[in-house]
Amino acid sequence: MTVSSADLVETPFRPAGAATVPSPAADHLAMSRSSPAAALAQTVQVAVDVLRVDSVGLMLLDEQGTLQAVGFTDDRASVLESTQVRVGQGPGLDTMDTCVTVAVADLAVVPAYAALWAGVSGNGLRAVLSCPIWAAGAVVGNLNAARRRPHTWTADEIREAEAYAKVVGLILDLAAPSGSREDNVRTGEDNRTGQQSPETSAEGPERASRPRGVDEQSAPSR
Amino acid sequence: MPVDPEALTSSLRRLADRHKREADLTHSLNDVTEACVELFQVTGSGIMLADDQNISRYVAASNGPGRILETVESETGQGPCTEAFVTTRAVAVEDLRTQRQWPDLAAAVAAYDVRAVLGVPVRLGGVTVGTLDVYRDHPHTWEDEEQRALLRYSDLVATTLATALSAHKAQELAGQLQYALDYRVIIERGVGYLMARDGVDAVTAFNRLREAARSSRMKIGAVATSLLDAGRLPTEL
Repeated sequence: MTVSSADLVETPFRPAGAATVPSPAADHLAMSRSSPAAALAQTVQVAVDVLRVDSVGLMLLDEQGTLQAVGFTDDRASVLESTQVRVGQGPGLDTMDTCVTVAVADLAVVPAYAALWAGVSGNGLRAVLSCPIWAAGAVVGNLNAARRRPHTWTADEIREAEAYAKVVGLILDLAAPSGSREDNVRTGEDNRTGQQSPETSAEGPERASRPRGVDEQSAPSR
Repeated sequence: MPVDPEALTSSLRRLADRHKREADLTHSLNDVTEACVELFQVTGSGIMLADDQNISRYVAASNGPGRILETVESETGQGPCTEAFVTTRAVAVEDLRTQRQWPDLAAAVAAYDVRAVLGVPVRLGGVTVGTLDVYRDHPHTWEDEEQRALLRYSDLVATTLATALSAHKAQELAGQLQYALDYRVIIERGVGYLMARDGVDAVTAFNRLREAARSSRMKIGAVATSLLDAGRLPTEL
């Protein structure tokens, strides 16, 4: 057996001493609770380390069905997300349309993302992997993992990012208030505009077989 | 904070409208272990959490052998996950079959392809409340980078727990963890006392507390308190 090197975690045990009765004021459980914002902030930060990327951003649909940049690890990711929303193009938006992962090896060489690249070219992010986030049976947003250098995403990397996006979705499910309102589940609406989409049905969005808006120079994930 | 709270609130309201039923924490933790398998390309993964006796118990696993590993660890009080829980350190084993530290565990899982195991603590509010473990079906040396990555992923497990607690979707778990959180420090001190007094390692000391709690039908926190007050276990009176 090997125990991890001491720099990984601190030694927990303190010298034995007089017992201290837990104080009622020390509500450890209350301290352990986490606001949704703090939980999502932690989630995007952990993603950088676990997915071994430079930046991570999170986009979610709001109550009106409009995609919003919600979370990011740094300014680069913030600019990438906000620019996608502003110019109306990018891997995150295409992920919402197709409900599948969109992998882009280099934003600079994808004609379909020319307006996006014009807005983020000084930003430093080149390769983007955008995975759909599923919650409550529908795609509710996307997780964008990005690297500063052009990079062809491997099948393993895509699978890992999709697995991580799945955890983001279940955390959103847990964070959402319990559904006390009338059950008015609206499936089949366009993920960008809230309008009915021909690619969706009453049972929920269908998965597209191939991402749209990505040319041969990018790396479609499926 | 790099998250827009207003935008997030709006998104969560949208989700609330869509929910046909409340998200279930146990189901979610099972999903977390399945994602862990994909992320770390391991054979299986599991989560153990402290019960109301502060004994770590099986909660979720990605597959059958993973569940058996955790169940046996709970029953025998030995193994890498138990040691990670007690010492709050990452504990790695290259091959369960050839190691000699945990013979009962090795015998119990011999029929399953559980070979290399890595267990890391799950901390909530700075207190260890359980473990996340992964295993491979072949011998494997766990590199520091793998251990660091799994420790980071354990933060995500903690975030999942904290989110469920905040949304009041884990009332049973909240009661269970309340005890673990409140008495962890006392139990740690009791373990430290026994280590110094008896010259044993942390897991042996923890298991002595556990056995004394069982024999005296007391909670382990009360046993630790009694030990620190009187200098001996209730069963040593």
